[in-house]
Amino acid sequence: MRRFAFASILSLSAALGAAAAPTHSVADGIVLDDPVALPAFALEDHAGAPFSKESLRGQWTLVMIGFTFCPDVCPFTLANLEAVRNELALRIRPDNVPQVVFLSVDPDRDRAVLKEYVGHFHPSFLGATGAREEIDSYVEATDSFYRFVDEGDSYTVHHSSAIAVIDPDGALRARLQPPLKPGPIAEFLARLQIAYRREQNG
Amino acid sequence: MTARLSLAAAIMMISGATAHACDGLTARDGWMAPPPPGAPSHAGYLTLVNHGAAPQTLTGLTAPGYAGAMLHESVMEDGVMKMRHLMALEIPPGDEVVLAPHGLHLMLMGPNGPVAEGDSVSVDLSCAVGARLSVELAVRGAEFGAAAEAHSDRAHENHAHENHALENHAQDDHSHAHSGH
Repeated sequence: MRRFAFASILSLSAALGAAAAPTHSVADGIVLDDPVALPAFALEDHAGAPFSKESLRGQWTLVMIGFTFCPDVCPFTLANLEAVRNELALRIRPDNVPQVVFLSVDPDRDRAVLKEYVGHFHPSFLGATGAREEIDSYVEATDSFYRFVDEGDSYTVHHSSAIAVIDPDGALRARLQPPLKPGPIAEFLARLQIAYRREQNG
Repeated sequence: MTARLSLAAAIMMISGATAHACDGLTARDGWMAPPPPGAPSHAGYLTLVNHGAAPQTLTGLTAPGYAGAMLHESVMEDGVMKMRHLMALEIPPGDEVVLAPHGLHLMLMGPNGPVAEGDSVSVDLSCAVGARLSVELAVRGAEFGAAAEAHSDRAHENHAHENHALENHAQDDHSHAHSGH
């Protein structure tokens, strides 16, 4: 059965254009007008431990949707996210440096290799995946998209390239668009965190 | 694909280059970033230079260290990243085509063993009329992040857009077909 786990490309454009119009855009980052609180979801991390909305609390998180059978864009994006973290470490307190999560939408192929795959980029990187419904729940909430595409005797996955920036309350605050230039993206995230703290202190 | 091959063959014959299809075609700067362990496929990059007077068409490749290999292109459309299988890639005479991160790449599937920094990966590129061009890809990490930055702005400039007509267009048929349902 065909089951799409997405808000369509059209509604993504609509969301970016209207519902969540960017307040400012620096480099390839877009801040949402209103943070989007994520719904509950129940995924697993690469070690088999629960990965839920609660796992996002208390620290900043960058979530990339992907799959390991993606040799070009996915590894380079993950490597660049580590470069972004290194840049950020020069600018902000270590505990504000975001956790990177690689959410595989291809659990059947990826579950077995997820741990070493993400660990290649940094030991702190977290791989996550889970039941289709739970993946879809996250994907839908972040206005993302993926779709499996047949390719002869194999298949590939088309997926949103944007990285979700999730705040310590578990709300989607911004998106990053690869290819990521580490310096400008780090600057963008540092400013986003300052704006967040101002808002918290009201 | 047949039509394209015939066209390429016709061009070769007109230009008199029938015997050695890869004549004039060279590859340089072949490289690969150290792939993550467990990655079921790896991406190779290089620059193809056509020194000849006739267009050269790459129709595929093989790699002894892998179960399979294809020409691929990563394409961003409306914020969605897609990978496309290219049946052919044309290098115009006197021109070069850069395969670089976030764009054209050699898709190497099913590695026979681990590949690490310092290794060399062999690939054999196939030209339209059956000749082959052997290339070594140096596995090196230094450019892993930097290359994406440097090449991103021009990754889509050089290649032959008409080849897109030859992509696999199965995408509307079997969504999630292999996802375990």
